[in-house]
Amino acid sequence: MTCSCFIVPKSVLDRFAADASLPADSREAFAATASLETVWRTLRSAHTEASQSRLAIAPIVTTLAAAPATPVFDCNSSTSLPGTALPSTSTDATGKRAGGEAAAVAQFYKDCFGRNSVDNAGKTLVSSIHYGAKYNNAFWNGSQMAYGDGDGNIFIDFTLSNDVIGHELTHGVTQYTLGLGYTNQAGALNEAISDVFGTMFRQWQGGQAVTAADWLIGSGIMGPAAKAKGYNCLRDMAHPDAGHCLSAQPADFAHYVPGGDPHVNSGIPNRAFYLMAMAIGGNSWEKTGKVWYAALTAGSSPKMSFKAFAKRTRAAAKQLFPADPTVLAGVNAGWKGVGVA
Amino acid sequence: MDRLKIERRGGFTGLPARGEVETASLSAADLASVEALFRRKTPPPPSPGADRFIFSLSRHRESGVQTMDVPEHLLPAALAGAVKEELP
Ligand SMILES: [Zn+2]
Repeated sequence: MTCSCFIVPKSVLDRFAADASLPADSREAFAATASLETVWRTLRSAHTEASQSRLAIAPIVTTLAAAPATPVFDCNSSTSLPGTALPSTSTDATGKRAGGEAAAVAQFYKDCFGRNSVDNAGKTLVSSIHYGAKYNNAFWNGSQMAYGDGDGNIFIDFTLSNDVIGHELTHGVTQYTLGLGYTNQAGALNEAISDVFGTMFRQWQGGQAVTAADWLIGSGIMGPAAKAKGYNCLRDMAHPDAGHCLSAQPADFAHYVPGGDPHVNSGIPNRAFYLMAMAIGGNSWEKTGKVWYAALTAGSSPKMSFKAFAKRTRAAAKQLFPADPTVLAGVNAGWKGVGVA
Repeated sequence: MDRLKIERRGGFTGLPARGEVETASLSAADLASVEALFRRKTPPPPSPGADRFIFSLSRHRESGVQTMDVPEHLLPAALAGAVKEELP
């Protein structure tokens, strides 16, 4: 999976920018993104011709849009994306949450890791809400996020868990960095990275140290039927195989499911992150998160194995925290704890 | 009468779902979409991005059973909406 194929074509952005049915601020956002795309493409071709210009280009691109726009669209229960632009005067609570939390995730990536949007070039973060009828899912389609309302029984509105919004946006970050595929260990790692940064965003927003966090994924979207059966989350990064998880997962490599869905085997690296964050202590985004972010952004590797990713985190721990041996020790303990040596 | 069995996997929740539909209950357009899917020589690639649903579609006929994986963006809504999750 390469990144360039998912960039919204400039022709589409131009069409949105000229669409009189869209509110003025959305049209401006699309126009700004379209012009940024032009600049980016020009810079990229310049980069190809003059390989030494790479480092000179990066800071220019990053400063073009200081913070990404976060427009919200309403699918009105249809499955065509993006839907119709939600006016800025809308009182739709789901819309406010989707746009507000997308902006907060962008702020999280900027404050904690110095990243400007999913592509590190200020890409507009489009969210579509009320996707499908009773749709029990949220997804990243390669260029935007989409959220279902849930069936109201097993699941409710998928924008109600801030870790879900962090999870979906992180798929965008992974797409533009490590470029992980969606099968085998690479697929599981793809899902784990989204859960890890999703829960880290949740902790950052709540000002929670690792010992105060719940480490639950999807706790805010559980519907009455799921709760009645004792499920309080989809996944628990601390205890992936626990009975209170609606989608229980393997907790260590001895229980890896060959050919399993990425959302199954992600339990293994999820728990590795939990174990190292607890061993290192403090706020997850300050040390453990920085190690994982460095590993995530150290170059594309679509078929990366757990072991290879673990190796990257060890290298990052040494490089980022040379004077703090508890970080490397924590990273080692985390991987050892899930049987990835 | 042909019967379609549908099993869903994937998605953010990872929770499977399944259902069945009689082809006689489908609209002509949906039936044509299903026929077109089963005429394919190679399975369609998954929907782009992440956390997308994949549906395993089995067509049960007197002549036998055919099964294929269909990404959610290619499955008619009448079929995608026919599956239900079961709480474990
Ligand atoms: Zn995901």
